[in-house]
Amino acid sequence: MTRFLLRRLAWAALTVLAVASISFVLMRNVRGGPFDSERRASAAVEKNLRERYRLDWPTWKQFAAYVGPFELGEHGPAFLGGDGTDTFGGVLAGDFGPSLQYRDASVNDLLAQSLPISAALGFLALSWALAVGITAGIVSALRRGTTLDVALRITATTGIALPNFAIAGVLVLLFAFVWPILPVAGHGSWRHLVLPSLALGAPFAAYIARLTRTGMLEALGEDWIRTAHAKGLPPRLVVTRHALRAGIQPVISYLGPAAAGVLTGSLVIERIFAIPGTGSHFVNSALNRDYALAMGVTILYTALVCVLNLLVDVVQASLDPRIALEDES
Amino acid sequence: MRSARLLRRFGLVLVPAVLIAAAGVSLSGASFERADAAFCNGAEPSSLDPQQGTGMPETRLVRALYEGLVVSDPRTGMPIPGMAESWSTSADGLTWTFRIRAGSRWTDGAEVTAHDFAFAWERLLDPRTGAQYADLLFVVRGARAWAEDVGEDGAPTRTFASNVAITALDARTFVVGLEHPVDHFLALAVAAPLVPVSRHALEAARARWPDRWQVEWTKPEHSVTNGPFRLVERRINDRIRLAKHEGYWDADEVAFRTLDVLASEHLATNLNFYLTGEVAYLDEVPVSAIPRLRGREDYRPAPYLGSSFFRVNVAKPPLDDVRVRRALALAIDRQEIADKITKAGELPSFSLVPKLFAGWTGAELRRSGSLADDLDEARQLLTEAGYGPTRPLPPIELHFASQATNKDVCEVIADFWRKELGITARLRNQEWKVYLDAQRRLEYDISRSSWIADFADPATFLEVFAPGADNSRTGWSDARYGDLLERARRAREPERFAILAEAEALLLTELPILPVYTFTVTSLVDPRLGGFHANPLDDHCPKFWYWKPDAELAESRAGNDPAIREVESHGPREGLLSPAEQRRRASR
Amino acid sequence: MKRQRDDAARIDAALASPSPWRRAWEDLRANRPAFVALAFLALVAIGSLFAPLLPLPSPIALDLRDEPLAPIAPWTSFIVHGFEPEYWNLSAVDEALVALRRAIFGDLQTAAWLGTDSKGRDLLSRIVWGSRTSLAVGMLATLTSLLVGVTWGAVAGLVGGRVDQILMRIVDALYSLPFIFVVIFLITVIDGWREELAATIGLERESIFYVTIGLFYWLTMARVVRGQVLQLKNSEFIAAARLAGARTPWLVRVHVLPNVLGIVIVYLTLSIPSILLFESFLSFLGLGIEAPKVSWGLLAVDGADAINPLGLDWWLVIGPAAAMGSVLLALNVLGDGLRDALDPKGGRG
Repeated sequence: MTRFLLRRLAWAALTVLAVASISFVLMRNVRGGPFDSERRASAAVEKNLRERYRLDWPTWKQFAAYVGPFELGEHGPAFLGGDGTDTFGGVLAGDFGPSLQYRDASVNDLLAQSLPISAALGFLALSWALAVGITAGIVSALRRGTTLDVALRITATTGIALPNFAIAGVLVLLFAFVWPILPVAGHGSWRHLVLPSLALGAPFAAYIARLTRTGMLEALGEDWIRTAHAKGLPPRLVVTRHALRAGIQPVISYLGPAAAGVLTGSLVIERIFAIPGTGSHFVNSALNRDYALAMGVTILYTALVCVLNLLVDVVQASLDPRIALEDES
Repeated sequence: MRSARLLRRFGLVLVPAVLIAAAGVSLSGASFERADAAFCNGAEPSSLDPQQGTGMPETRLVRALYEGLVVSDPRTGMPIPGMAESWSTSADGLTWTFRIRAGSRWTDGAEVTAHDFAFAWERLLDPRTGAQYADLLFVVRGARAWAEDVGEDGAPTRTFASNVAITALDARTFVVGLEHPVDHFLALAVAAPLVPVSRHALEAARARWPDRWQVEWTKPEHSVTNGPFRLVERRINDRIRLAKHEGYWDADEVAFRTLDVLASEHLATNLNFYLTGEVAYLDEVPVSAIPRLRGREDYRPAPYLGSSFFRVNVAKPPLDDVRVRRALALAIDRQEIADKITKAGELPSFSLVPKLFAGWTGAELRRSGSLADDLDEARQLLTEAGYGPTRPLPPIELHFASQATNKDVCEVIADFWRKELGITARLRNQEWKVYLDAQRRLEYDISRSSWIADFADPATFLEVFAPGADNSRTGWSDARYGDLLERARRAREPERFAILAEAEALLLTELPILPVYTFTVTSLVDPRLGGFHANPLDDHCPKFWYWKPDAELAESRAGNDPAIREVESHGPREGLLSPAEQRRRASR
Repeated sequence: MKRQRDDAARIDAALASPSPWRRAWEDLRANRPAFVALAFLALVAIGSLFAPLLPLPSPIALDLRDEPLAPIAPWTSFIVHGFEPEYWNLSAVDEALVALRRAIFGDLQTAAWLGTDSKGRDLLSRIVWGSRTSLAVGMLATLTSLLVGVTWGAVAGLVGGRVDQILMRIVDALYSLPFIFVVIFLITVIDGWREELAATIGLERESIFYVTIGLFYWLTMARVVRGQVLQLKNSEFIAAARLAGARTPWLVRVHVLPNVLGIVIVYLTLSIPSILLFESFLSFLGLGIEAPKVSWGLLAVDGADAINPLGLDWWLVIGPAAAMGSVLLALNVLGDGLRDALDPKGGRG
């Protein structure tokens, strides 16, 4: 187990490094720069700005400085030619650098402020998506072919058919204007997260319902389920202990992409509900060419996805004893 | 498998626990008491450093946090005393002397002096600050030469004090020497980047955090400002909370004790904020909402010192032929665009400079006065230029940045040109930064553009297209135009306006731009919000705002046109007045 | 020797079943709802393909007005005059169809049965024409994800070990790439060489779209397939078949593929809507299909704008939503039917 974890963490680190390098180069080759604006600054000013953010260094050096752990500027350690005031710098020293767009803030500050909010939103959205989705899927599978099944499936399809910004609009209209019980947007209490998490989670609830239904139907038809029934196990036990475990496999596989999808969907939801989360930083940093912030969010995002995948694999293996954690065949 | 189960149990418990904890953390500090008032500020400001501001979001915060020599009177828009209680000009108009008022303090208690102004203006000009608006001060004697003479390290090689005519003679006297007389210098001095910063606070910050002072000194716990409000808390992409600054010289006239500045870019969301009473003032509404807002008492569209036009790449055939450019300029149905696309009552414009300056007549595109006749002339011009059914005009690309109205306007124009002139016009939509890059490299045919006045003078529009100007981006470089602008710089009113009008006439004959309309700002203002007046620069200082009590609200409504629909106000019924105003009303 | 060969032949014969594909088609035809769904989708596809032939107004003809026109019931106004043949650059086939349409219907066009948007463009026409773009995007991306994803996932699952690790780590790495940058990057790079590319391979911004979307959707498919293959690999009937001497390619064709196909098809029917939504999401950010072309994503964005508390232009939402919804419902029903039909255990109790 420990070996498995260590190996996966090593792979995760490698992935993060690969993604960081690709993104680093990609960003600097996209047209348009962080200081381009309608009213341009003079050449001397722009030169100073580029120097301040080290954009005049060669790309490899920028990347090395970004990764760290040593500060490569004039204040770096003596053995690298600096004056020794500031030995460490870069991501490996915990410093994601200053933001290019928000000149008053460091990327560390921006991420520290926004990440808990996005996490809360994402968690809420996924939780209720799982709860509603799995329940609906089980009910649908058990009552297969009935009106309830059809009704649930149609609702699920509507949830998938509408983009989440349209669902958000409808929710805001219903719960902030027609029955003004929830705030229309903004951030400040748990009530501000209700509508956004509903809008964010709706499509995933629909998917999960579909996947659960399919998985359950397959599991219920398996021979060993018939065996369990034949042995005289009570039906509810059959469903919850045996069929659910196998039937939920596709949902577990889906959790990885679902979490990534929640991160994506949150870009739009955060904009519509004015929530100061990481999603808005992701989009805005790309559109503003804020390299430091974009890199910070990318690295965070990558690390998160890797960790989530690890969790998903572990859960998957523990639910289905036939799947070993490491494939040893 | 035991370890796997353990891990699973552990993981399944740990992860949600961490997330719930995070949620708890993020929400615990989250809510605080409702502010007295709030308004939507658009994008999160890129910086609270006044000299580094670039756009409206930054400007509005500077207005709340700082005060410069002069401020704009909310009613008339004219410059009135701010930090400078009086001023005088020398006879030749080359030297301005400002008397800084005593008794106005920074938020850390120190007094605001002329040295702070000198420090801030030097900072603005110094290329190391990275200020986009440094050229505002290029009218000062020696400023441009000093700012452009930089050494290897990017620092100016000569000293400021002996080379630039900006001096603080003592703590209360601030003297500025100009290259040539600038009669509108006060209008210039209102600009946001010209506010002072606390020299002692900034130097202390630099000493304390040599590497990180830019990031630290604007934080609420370290921020030192001199305006009507001070910084309490800043939550990026959420809101900035301000509180009244008691040490401000005019604190008695400030009504709001707390003020929230919301950062939200999505127009539909901002409208929702306004309609539920979360904000008192909104500066832009979604275009689709305008037809339903018309006739409401809180909807106040007002003309704005901004010009919408198309840049023309004059180096690229067939647009290098001025007849083709003129034909295209004539063949735009401006009224239709203003009525049906932008809908906010924009004024169709045939010139670059909006006709909103007192005493300014300017020039206009020469035309017949009826669209049908203009179209005939356009067709004739194209024939003269050698284009017709046998030799059609090559396809023209309309270049624009991805925003709703841009696309619609270009679609309509492309459609119109196709129908009326038989031109194939294609649309080319690019993301904002790419669009700017393409414009800079002249990789376009016709590019939808706009220009907003930096300060209240026609020159701010006309200087954009001076030969060699960075912001021209049209490839047009006309020495005659440059000469006229140079003469205008040295002239005094009223000749100056006449020379500028001549320059504009030349611009509108050579047509490196195709004028379309003058912007209108579509504000929504809570009927109870007092002290708010529309002005052409859309420059509002929250210092003057207050909540009207019921009696006053009824009074102001009584003066309304009966066709105007009343709307519910979300402000406090008893109103909220500044201490001075309360006293004045009590004694009446 | 001959005895062994006979035995082998008998075992092969016993283990062989009638072609699952033929049986699947029969099962599908018997399944009423699925068959209706298939017919509906076929109808939509044909309508989409022959859109230029239908007597619809132009999807981009402008009729500027202050507010969108509400839907007009077909019995109030069925057909009106005033058709203007305005389209973006159409292919030769489409141009021919338009010419044919003008010959048949003249200047008649349907009235605004589904209303118009604020620029007077007929919504029904935009939905039909938008289906072309959206369905093309959906199908191309789906095909890419199917081909690449299924192969990748199946290989990873079947081979296992080091190869599985490497393949899946690549998927993880690609998953974590900030797709917004990739999209902007691709779009701007192609923008720079627009003229040359358009001349040589007829590539335009839309094609970048398809490529980018395909690039992201095969990743999920690979993961899902790998999961399913892993489950199957360790299941008992595979073990039993192996013991009986069955070889891998035969196993794959007869047992693994139909089982995997079930989940793959359901996933496909779920990913097409996801692709369409991704397209609308990019349109929301301004990076999607360019005007004047129309797609369901753009219509969704317009529709979302119409939902505001000042007044509801409900048709701008309901129209595209109903279109997307019914197509997706049909896809889902068809997907279920296909999964049931392809099930080697012959239907469920």
